[in-house]
Order: sequence, then structure tokens, then C-alpha cells
Amino acid sequence: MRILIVEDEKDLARAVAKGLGKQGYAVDVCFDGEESLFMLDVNQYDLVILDLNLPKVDGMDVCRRIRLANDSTGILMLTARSGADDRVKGLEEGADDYLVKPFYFPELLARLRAILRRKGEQRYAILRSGDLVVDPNNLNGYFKDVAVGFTVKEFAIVEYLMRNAGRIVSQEELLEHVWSEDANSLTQAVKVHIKNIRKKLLDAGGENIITTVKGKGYML
Amino acid sequence: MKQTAFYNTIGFKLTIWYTVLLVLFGVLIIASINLAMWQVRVDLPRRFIDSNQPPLEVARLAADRYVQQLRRYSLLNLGGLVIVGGVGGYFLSRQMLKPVDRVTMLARNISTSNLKGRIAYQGPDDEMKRLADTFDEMLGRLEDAFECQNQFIQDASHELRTPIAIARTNIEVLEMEEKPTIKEYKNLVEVLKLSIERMSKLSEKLLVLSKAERESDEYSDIDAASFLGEVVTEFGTLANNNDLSLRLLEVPKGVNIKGDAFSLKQAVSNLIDNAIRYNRAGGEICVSAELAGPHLVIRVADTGIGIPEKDQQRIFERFYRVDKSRSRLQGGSGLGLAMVKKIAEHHGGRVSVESSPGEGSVFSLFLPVR
Repeated sequence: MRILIVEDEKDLARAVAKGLGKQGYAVDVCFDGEESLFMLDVNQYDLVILDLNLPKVDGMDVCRRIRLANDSTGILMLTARSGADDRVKGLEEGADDYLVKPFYFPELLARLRAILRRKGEQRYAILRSGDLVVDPNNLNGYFKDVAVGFTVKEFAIVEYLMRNAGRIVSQEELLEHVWSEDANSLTQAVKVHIKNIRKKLLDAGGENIITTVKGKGYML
Repeated sequence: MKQTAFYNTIGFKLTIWYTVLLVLFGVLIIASINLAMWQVRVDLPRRFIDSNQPPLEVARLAADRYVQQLRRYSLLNLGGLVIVGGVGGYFLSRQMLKPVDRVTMLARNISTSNLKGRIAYQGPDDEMKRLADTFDEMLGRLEDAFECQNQFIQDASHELRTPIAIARTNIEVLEMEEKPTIKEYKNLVEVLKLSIERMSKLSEKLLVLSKAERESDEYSDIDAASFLGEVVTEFGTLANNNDLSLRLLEVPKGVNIKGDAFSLKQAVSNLIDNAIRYNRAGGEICVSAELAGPHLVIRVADTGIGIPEKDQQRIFERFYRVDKSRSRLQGGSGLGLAMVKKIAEHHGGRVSVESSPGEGSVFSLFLPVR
């Protein structure tokens, strides 16, 4: 899952990016509204964390433009504007959720997971595919109670495939949604990770559930 | 307050009422006594027509009869007056005081939680109306004061949210780390220090601002020349460090400003501070003062980025920033100019700005002289 943070308070943006990175999210950060529109144009994000008081282009405008472009990317507004009027306005402009600063970081995590859940095919917090159970809360997968021991990146790939189960996901799409902009990764990296995931699944006593569709990508 | 026509006042109406009633009762009493006397006179010949009594005796009896009749009717009238006066007075006063009850009832319905209500008294332009209107005006001022305070609290809490969020999120994210490194801890300390600095600066400014709002009896005479000299000297180093030249032009000698030295210094300092903050490298700042009528005008001119015309009115509002990111980068809180305005107004003066973007700005602080 790839997330864009739009926040002009650099110390806050960096902390949130670091925290989300640890949870396996691919995170990009930008510090003003204009830059965010550019980033949204170039990259495919699953969710945007949007401040409202932004330089150059206001957060409300960014939100409106995202929705006007018929883009259903998840939007979580994160702002110091606490009035009921602001909250109503934010949600009516198309935000999926609204969180007031200062916030409890685990709450931010829970809220953005809830948005991603609503956007995806799977609406449950814990994802299932055959005997494999994946829990986004501790970034791990289980085969009949045996932990698989994914790395953060491996987990992110499995989660993305599970949320898009039944659909062919290309290597490029995985790169878009699992790696952030500064990662500069190649499709070779995807191959290596998929190989490791398959090995770990077999080691845990499970089966290989990821199918390779030749020339197109992977499918669960 | 505008003068009410005398015939419209409650006082005048009361006067008319009781004068008319008094005259009426007086006429009634005099008439009834006269009538009673007349009756005695008509009665007398009949009584004494066959009398063989000597004339002197008849005269004495007649006089007795008059006195008797006079006493009887006097007492009767007195009794009548007590009854009619009491009942009539009661109804008259009740009629006249009815508006007081109405105003009281309306006023009672306006509580502290609902300062929006007004008596809005409808009626003749008399004492009652003036009382109600005065009450309404007082409510208006109270509401404004409450509104102002509310706004202040909201602004302050809004501005405190961001540094708190920065501190809190940084701590919580580090807490998620199983084995944080020393470098990460040092980073956190640095971020916390900056947030705390920001919060303490903000709270300090809020304090000064609320102090400027309070009535001050501690005004003293301040010599303009030495006051400005002092403030400008203090900024010498800061201007130098920013590669700016700061100059104080001739200040009229022997001019005294009446005011609170601490807050006036704060005001001028804020103007110079802004001039340094928003200047270009190698630019200059010129502080001057001149007398204009009852005011001393202190001017702070810079060669900075200037202020777009659409923002010129709003820069004196609390927490208004022309370019949010830039001003925050420079450490601005959006309170400086609001403080200058508050302080100026509190001293019976004002502040204004002239600016052309790209060339610079001139801030003028008008302060009444002694």
C-alpha cells in the first residue's frame, strides 16, 4: 500500500512517514499543495494523508481536485482545524476520514487501515486466502498457527496481492504500490521478493498460493 | 444619548395625571361643601319661621347649624378622598410602572449563556425606553467581549495544536521502535526542543497580548528620542548578522509619549523584527519619527519583499500570514502585528502600512503625545 503525506510541518511529516514505513507502507512526503498535485499525477497512491493549511494550494482544494479528477484514492485529512464546520466541510469535499491534531499515532494507523479496508475487496481486518491468514496489525502471516516470518516488504507484497485477490497484478503495479518514490527499484526486486515469499510459505508447511501468469504478473 | 422631548417623558405624564386629578377632587370637595352650606341656608327660615326666640338666640342656633354641617361634610369628603385617592393612586401607579415589569421580564429571559437576546423595547421614547436601550447596548458590549475572548482561546488552541502534534507523533513513532538508536533519541530531543521553543514563544506572545488588552493605569511619560534610540540599539546585532543596515533618523527632541513602556517597546520591537525578517540580503531598515498634529508618528521602513495589496488590511489580524510556509520558516507566529495594533489602539493611537510588493513596506505607528 502506497501512501502520500502532504504536510508542511516537516518534523511532523517525517515522523509520520517513519512510523508508516515501519508498518510496511511505501511512503512519499511532500510539503505543499502544488507539489502534492504533481505527485498525485505521476504516481498511483492508495491513500493520501492531507493537511489543510498548506502553502500554495490549500488542502481543501487539493481534495476537491482529486475528486474532480474522478480519483477515488483514500483521503485522510489531518489538521489543526478542529471546528465541527471544518470537519463537515472536509468530509463533504470528499475526504474519507478526518483526524484532528494532535493525534494518537496508533489511531492514525487504525483509521488509515479502515480506509484501505473499505477501498479494497476484503473488508475484514484479517486477510484470508485458503489456509494462509495475514494480520496487518503485526505484519505477519500464519499457516495453521505457524508464523511465516515475513519481512516488512514481503508482508506488503502479500497484503497487496490478497487485497486484490482474483486479479492479475503486474510487477509494475506492485512496484507502484509497495515501493516509494525514492526506492528506485526494478522489477528484478519484485521477482526476488516473490521467490523469497514462496520459499517461506513452503517452509512454514503451507503451499505456494501465488500463481505466475506468464508475461502478465502474479495472481492469488 | 439623544434628548427626549419633555412631553414624552414619564415624569411629565405623571405630573399631568396628578395635577388633573388633584384639581378635579378639589373642585368636587369645594362644590360639595358649598352645596351643603347652601342647603343649610335654604333650611334655616323654615326652622325658625314660627320661632319666638330672640334674634340673638336664632343667630347663635343658625351659626351652630352651619358649623355642624361644615364638620359633617368635611369628614365625609375626607373619607371619600382617602378611598378614592388610595384606589385611584394604586391604579395610576400600576399603569405607569407596567413597562418596568415588562422590561424586567424580558431582561430575565436573557441569561449569561444566551447573550444574543435583546429587550428590543417597543414604546414611546421615554425613560423606560432609554433604560431598555441602555441595557441592550450593555448586552452588546458584553457579547462582543465574550466573542473576543472566545476567538482568542480558539486561535490560541489552534496554534498550539501543531507543535503538540509534532512532539507527540515523534515520541509515539519512536516508541514503536524495539531498539531505538542513540541517534534516533538525539533526533527526538532536537525535535522536542524546537516544539517546546515554539510553544513557549507562542504562550509568551499570548500573555503580552492579553496584557495589552487590559486597562492600564501605570502609564508614564516616555521620552521618544531616548526610547527609540534604546530599541534600535538592541536590534543592531541582529540586523548586522542578517547583513542589513539599521538606521535611526532624527527624532524630535523633548517629545513625550504617555504610555506603558513595556508594551510600547514590544510594539516597536515587533515592527523592527518584521522588517529584519522579511528583508532581502544587503537591504536596509530606516526608523524615523515626526510630529503630526496630536500624534508622534514612528515609521519603520524596510526594503523587503513587500505585502500584496489584498493582504494589507488582514496582516493585523491574529494568526494571519501572507505566506504561511515562509513566515513559519522565519519563526513567525502570526501574532506580532496583531500585538502592535492592540497596543497602538490601547494607547489611543493606530498603526498603518504602505507597501509595494518587491520594493518594501513602511509601517507607521501613531501615538498621542503629551
